[in-house]
Amino acid sequence: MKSPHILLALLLGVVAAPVAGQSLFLDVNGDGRSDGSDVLNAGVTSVDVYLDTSHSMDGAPVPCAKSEHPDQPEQITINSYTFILSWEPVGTGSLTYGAWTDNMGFAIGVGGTQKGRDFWTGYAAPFYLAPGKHKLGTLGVTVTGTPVLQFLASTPIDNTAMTSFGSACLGSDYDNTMKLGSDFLDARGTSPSDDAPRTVWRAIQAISR
Amino acid sequence: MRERWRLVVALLVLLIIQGIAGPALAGVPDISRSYYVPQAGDPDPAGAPAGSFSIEAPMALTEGTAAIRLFRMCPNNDGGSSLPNNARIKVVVLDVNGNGVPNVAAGDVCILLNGGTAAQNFSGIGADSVIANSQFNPSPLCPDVRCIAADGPTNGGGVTFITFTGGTPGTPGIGTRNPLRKMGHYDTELPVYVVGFKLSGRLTTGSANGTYTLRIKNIDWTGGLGTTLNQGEAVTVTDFNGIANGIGINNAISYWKDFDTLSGVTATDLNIITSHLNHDCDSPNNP
Repeated sequence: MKSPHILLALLLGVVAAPVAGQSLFLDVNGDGRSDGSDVLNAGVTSVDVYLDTSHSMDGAPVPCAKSEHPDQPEQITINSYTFILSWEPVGTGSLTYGAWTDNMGFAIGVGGTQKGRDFWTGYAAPFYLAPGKHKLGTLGVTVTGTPVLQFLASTPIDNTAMTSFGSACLGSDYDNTMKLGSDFLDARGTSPSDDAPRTVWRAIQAISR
Repeated sequence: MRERWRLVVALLVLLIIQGIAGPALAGVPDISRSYYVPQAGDPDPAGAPAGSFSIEAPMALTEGTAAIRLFRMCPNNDGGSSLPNNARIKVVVLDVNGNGVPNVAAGDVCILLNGGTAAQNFSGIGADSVIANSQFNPSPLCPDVRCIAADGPTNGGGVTFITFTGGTPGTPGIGTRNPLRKMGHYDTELPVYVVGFKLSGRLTTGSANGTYTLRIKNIDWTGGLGTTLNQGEAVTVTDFNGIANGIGINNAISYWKDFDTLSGVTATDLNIITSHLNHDCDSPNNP
């Protein structure tokens, strides 16, 4: 059942990583960046979620790709977000999801559920925030061992769930929604522990960084 | 002898009737053969690149369900996620012999609107719950729309398009914003008439007549059907709240709140309405 998730995570993390687009990432150690030190372990109680609407992971600026006014494209603002997370044990380990705390001032819940290893949430507002790097919020977690947490573009636990953000930028489906998997591909989860077993998963993670 | 004459006269009359009626009927739309089809994208993907809507990749011709997903509009008709990607219907006018009826004037191919509701004293054979009148929407002033006309006359095959946002002269099927084409609310059927004949819809060109009924969802989905002034063509906080509170809910009105006609009312629909919040007949574009 989980194999499609793993495959999708691998595709997003490895194959798609070089493609320019907005950057979505998890930050475990509180430094506001995504790197090899963002490792889950038993001491971790929360994970921050960041989205840069206008830069790729390497810092390159990202324009609004589909605009009705190519000469003066809309800014990649943000008025909502939804994301799906899924964890993998990577050897031994487990993760229990806690509460999500929004950091954007978005008060309208636009979905959310969790089942098995998958977690989905989303919030929105009737206004736009400026383009740039935003800390979307913080997710409480209870961890054993050294699992890995990754973003998914979709999940079988809810067929309306997706990883996305709302924007004045039109988006590939003409719906003001920038979607992971079509409008952007740069989504990075946590890193495996150096102590984790030498699995294929870990090797691919290392390559992707 | 008399019987033989009667037979000859009857044959002559029959020949005369056929001689007159045949050509006449050949130029008349046959509603059992004529139809309209939902489309989007480039009407002629093999031809020259499409006009004003520049995107990074060539637009494909889309027909049927994928096109219907784009049939949603803001009362300001301001583009963006409102009637994107040349959302339109293709209208095919055929005669009794299945031949195209050419040169039907653009103004004779119409999506008909009454202009308002019965409560507002509007009547007719057009859509009766689409609001498109200045009488009850004087400030900001909204245009009176009764006929959403074709982009141009039918061609030699009897084909024309009604591109909802407005036609582009010389390139039928490509949209250019028409500032006099503004409306609020929705109706369960937007009837399509050609020189007085009501056409049937097809989901795709290959489908049967009657498999599709034209609808255009409106981001201004609630309010404005009564006699209170200036309520009929504006995206207000009431519209927004109805979407925000309708996410994940499936009831009789959910269909009209599901602007992208996909997976019910979701965050995507909220993103669409956010991009058109507080739009009306003079905002963001005036006219």
